[in-house]
Formats: sequence, C-alpha cells, structure tokens
Amino acid sequence: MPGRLQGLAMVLADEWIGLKVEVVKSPNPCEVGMKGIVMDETMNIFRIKTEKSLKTVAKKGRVFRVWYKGVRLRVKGDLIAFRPEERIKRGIMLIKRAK
Amino acid sequence: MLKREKKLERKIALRRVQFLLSIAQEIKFEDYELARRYVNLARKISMRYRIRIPKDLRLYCKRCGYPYRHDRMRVRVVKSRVVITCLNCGFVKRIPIRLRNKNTRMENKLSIRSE
Repeated sequence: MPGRLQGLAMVLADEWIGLKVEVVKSPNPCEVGMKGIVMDETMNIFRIKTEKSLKTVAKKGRVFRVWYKGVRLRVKGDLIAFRPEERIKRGIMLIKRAK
Repeated sequence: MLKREKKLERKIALRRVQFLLSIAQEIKFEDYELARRYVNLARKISMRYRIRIPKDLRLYCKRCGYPYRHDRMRVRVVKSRVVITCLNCGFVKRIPIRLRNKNTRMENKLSIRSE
C-alpha cells in the first residue's frame, strides 16, 4: 500500500511553500490567472509572491494549477484547506479514501 | 475506519522539516520574519509527527524561533562551554565541550581528584 500512495497525488500531503502556482478558477474574477510562488501558508490562505507584489488568496472555492515534480496539476483548494502541519495526515487520508 | 500510514507520514514530515529549515537559512538575511515563520512551521510539523530535528539543522533559537544570524547572536567560550546568546530574546544555549571517549573522561576525573 505505501508504494501505491507515492506519486503525484502526494501533492496533497507535501509542502506547498516554494511551489509555483496559478489560480485557475475563483469566485473573484481579479484573482483568476494570478501566478507566482507560494511564500506562506495558513489553514485558509496562501500568500503568493507574484511579479508585482505579495498577494493573499483564500483556498476554499478556488482551483489551483501547480507545478509539482515537473508536472502540471489541477488541485481543488477545498482539498488542501487544512493547517499545513495537519495536512500530512489529512492528505494521506484523502488519497486513501479516494482509492 | 481507515488506518493511518504513520511510517509514510513521518517520511514526508522529515522531508518537509528539512526543506523548511534549509530555506529559512537561505532567506534569513532578506526576510527575518518569514524565516522565523518557516522555522516555527518546521517545529510544529516535527512535534506533531514526533520527528527529531537533525542536529546540523538546529540553527535557531529554541525560545523565539528566529534562526541564528551573526548580527543577532553572541558566541563565547566560557568554562569549557560554547555559550550562544540570542540577542532577540536573550535566551542562552550552552553546549558543553568534552571528549566523547569514556576512558579519557575517567582519567580526567581521576587526575582532578588526585590534585
């Protein structure tokens, strides 16, 4: 089982700080297309460093595109709306439940 | 009820801790507050999943969480101890200098007693 759990789905349990992300879908039209590197993360928000400035984006209700291990992935923000230190446990649970 | 994968959790946790502490070291001269945030995140992860933080990465103050920086710390050798003082909060960390070899330690003790 642990062998199968490895892979791209692991993005749910892994570190997001330092990853390149883009907001694909959002209820707020200003946020769509925002691109940058995640600088900080809390339970509900990402702080994204874009070319212009540091932006704060909520996780819930958004869809993110993320460059992880050289692959582009689409991740729903609701799946990662946990505290960063809690997400290892919760993320692995989510992957297992989906299987 | 699903079972937790504790081994896998710890593996990921260790990787994340190492990553966070290393970028905290890289960034500490540009953004000291953010570096502190990374250190605190790493410590939270290590506490929750009971990961021992590698000794070579323990380059931060235990009390305030700021990484050690040459202009915000003081290092002295006092009474065969390395004394590191954090100038942000005043926390003092003492690292004893002593020989690891048990026999030599015994010999040292004996020689002190004989004097």
